[in-house]
Amino acid sequence: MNKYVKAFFHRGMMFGGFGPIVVGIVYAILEKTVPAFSLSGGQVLIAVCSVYLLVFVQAGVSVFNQIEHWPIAKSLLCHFVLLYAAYVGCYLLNDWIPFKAEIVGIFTAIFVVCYFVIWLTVYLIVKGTEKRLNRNLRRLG
Amino acid sequence: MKYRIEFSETQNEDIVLIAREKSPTLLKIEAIFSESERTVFGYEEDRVVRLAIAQITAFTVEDAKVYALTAEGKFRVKDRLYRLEEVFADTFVKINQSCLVNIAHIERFDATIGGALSVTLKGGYRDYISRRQLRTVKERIGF
Repeated sequence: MNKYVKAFFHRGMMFGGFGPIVVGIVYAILEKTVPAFSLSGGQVLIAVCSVYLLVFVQAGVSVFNQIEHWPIAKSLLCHFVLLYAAYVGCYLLNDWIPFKAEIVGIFTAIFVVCYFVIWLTVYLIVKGTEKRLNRNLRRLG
Repeated sequence: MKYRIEFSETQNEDIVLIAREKSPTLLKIEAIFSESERTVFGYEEDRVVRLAIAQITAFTVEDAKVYALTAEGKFRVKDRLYRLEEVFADTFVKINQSCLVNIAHIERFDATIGGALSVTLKGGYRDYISRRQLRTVKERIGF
């Protein structure tokens, strides 16, 4: 098996389990705060499975950024598309957003903005670390 | 401090230093020669080579086998990565689960678009620093 595929599944399996725990906590809070909040067994099952898959993908997609022979644009696009598909699929499956074009459009716009802001923040932090490490390396040399 | 180098085809190679105290220069010289004495055996097909630790740029794991990377090529090392990490802790730093790099051979660090950091070694080899090992790498580089 390709080492990147293996890494994708390995990372996914390592962190996937955290998803249902978070869903459980959110539903417990909702039960305490929202009057007459209730879910059917089927809804709970869908939520647990879909969020497990969402976190699985979220953890696994980081592997795209490590495929050396891929161009940057391809890595970013695959990372974004898979993550977006997992998020939008999970939200629609759980009825957290209605299946309407304009709502999905708004969700997509928010997703794109959040994705870019998070990516830029992480990149700038890592870039700062890179500069400091290289400066210290020159001093060591 | 005065120094003299004599070239001879007949005599054994020998270095004797006479000093009054341990100066930083002396410590550097000591480190260079003690380093050259530390070796591991590298295997390449039916050839066995004694590799000086100073010439090894990295130890990597591929298919559960440990390899030493040098300017002369890649050699199989019949030792575990964690053992090499323990024994050569002063020279190498672990950057991820399957790679130890020689600090003296690090060319530069690079930020990747995915928010990770990679190390490029003088021989051109490049590998990623895992989040788990980043703190150790920072400490070793003097953060």
